[in-house]
Amino acid sequence: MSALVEHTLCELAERVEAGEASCREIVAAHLERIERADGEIGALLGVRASEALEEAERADALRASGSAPSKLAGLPLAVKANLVSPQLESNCGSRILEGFRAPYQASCLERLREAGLVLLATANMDEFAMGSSCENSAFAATRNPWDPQRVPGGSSGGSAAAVAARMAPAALGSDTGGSIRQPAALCGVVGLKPTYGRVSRYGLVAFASSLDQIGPLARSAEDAAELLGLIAGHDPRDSTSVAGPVPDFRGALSGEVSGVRVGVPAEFFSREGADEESMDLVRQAVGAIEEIGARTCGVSLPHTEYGVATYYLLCTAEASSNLSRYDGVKYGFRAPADSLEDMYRRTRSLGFGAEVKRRILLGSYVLSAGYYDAYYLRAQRVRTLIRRDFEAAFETCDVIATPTVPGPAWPLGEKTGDPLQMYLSDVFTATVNLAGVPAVSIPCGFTRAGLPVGLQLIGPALGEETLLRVADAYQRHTDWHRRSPALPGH
Amino acid sequence: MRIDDDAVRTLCDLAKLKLAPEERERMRGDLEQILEYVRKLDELDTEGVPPTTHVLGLVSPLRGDRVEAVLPASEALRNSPEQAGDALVVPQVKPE
Repeated sequence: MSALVEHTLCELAERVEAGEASCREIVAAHLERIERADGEIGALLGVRASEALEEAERADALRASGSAPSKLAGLPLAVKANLVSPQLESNCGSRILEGFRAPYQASCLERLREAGLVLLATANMDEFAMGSSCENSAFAATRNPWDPQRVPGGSSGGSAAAVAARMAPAALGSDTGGSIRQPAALCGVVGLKPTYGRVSRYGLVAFASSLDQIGPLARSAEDAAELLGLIAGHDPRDSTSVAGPVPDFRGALSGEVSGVRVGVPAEFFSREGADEESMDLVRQAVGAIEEIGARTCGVSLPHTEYGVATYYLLCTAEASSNLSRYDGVKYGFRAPADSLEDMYRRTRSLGFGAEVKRRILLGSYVLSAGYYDAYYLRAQRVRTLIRRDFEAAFETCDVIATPTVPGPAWPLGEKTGDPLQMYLSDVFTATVNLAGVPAVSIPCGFTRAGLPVGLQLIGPALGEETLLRVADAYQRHTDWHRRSPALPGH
Repeated sequence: MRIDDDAVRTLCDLAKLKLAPEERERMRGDLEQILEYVRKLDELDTEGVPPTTHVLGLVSPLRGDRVEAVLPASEALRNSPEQAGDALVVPQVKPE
């Protein structure tokens, strides 16, 4: 295996800058890795092998003439299959969008392409981002690179597994209730969900519009900061994108955390059924952050245990509305039928998988007359209580540290028959989306069985700089994020 | 929360889905279990708590009233299963 695939994106940029490697060599090394490892892992749905090599060569030529558009120009990236681009098949892991290639570019991809990054491959995902294990993809179940008998997490499971298995130095994902952070934790990589509105959602296929946010998965907090800087910022095509200047996220990584107040919510560490070994590793990580100069204090987020119920009422309601557009008329799959009504029903019934149907039915239920107040409106009110929990906590601390997931990656198939158990794996991540605040998951150790565990750092709205500064400082003192899974081809 | 088969059929009508009887029965059981779980929210007193529809407190911004480039029809329709000229073709809507 080429050593090039072991580098982070920022390190690759330095090697290219120093003339020690070309972008073509870097893309070729990752393609070789994909060739060897993805048969077993199944992280990717499509690979742009020849186009990616050509784009990398072009970047090398531009750099030679002193006109590379950015330091990262020519470096490859994997993209979750719910971000649209004329260059990629954006099938969202669904039969209903099989073969779909949008005539326009998602804003985040447009910005990355302007910076010269190479869209290397599309990454597998739970259908329409609905799932926590990547087993809901209509095309393949991605496997965890640390143990191929286990799930990679979801819904951005393909993105996380691709980065963990060194098939791409970084990837984009989307996070509605934990879909970037949870697979990042289970695959031992960094996953950042920015503040709601930080990154334009234009070109992200909508699941639950008040919760969805795009973010990077990478192997270091530094890479996540670099990528966030490229994709963040106001976009007139998304009216929920935040106006105002984009901070220098990478410049904020001073390595200095003295004086930072880290809030530790006890209720996250004493949850019934949580894996004690994982909780211990997260406690040790908080201790390590304290040792390098931060102060810890107790905080409380008392409505956390209502997060999953609130989340599943709101996200299914929004999904039932958002997914009404898949009707066999405008794009995607169409089932043959004699009447329009029958065509709608047959198309949707054959095109959607079980979890998507379950959520559409649940969303239709909670929005229907007679149940709206009892379910949807009540969930919106509890969402306010959850937001207030975070607002109160951030009066006494700068960052909140928690486990990302209650336990490590579970065996394939273990939770597929029990939707509620699957939903409960989002217990530590979903409240963050409900409050709209940013959070990052970083690797903080391994269980005795060799499975990665993630530490989640949560910040106040638009507080990504502090989050990333703490994450980066921790990574300067630890090497969990440097560990590489043993895979075929070694 | 009891959900019966008629309720699932009504939901399928609302959502334009057509499920086989065994799939309907499975969904019925799942919905019942999930709706039982979310009753947890009844433990909370939400009287007087305003609902959150949006986390940023944004007002709807207006865009400038300018003509902007749009996709040509052929591009916009490219992904449709069936088309004729600038139109989408669908099965017959009304019986003959």
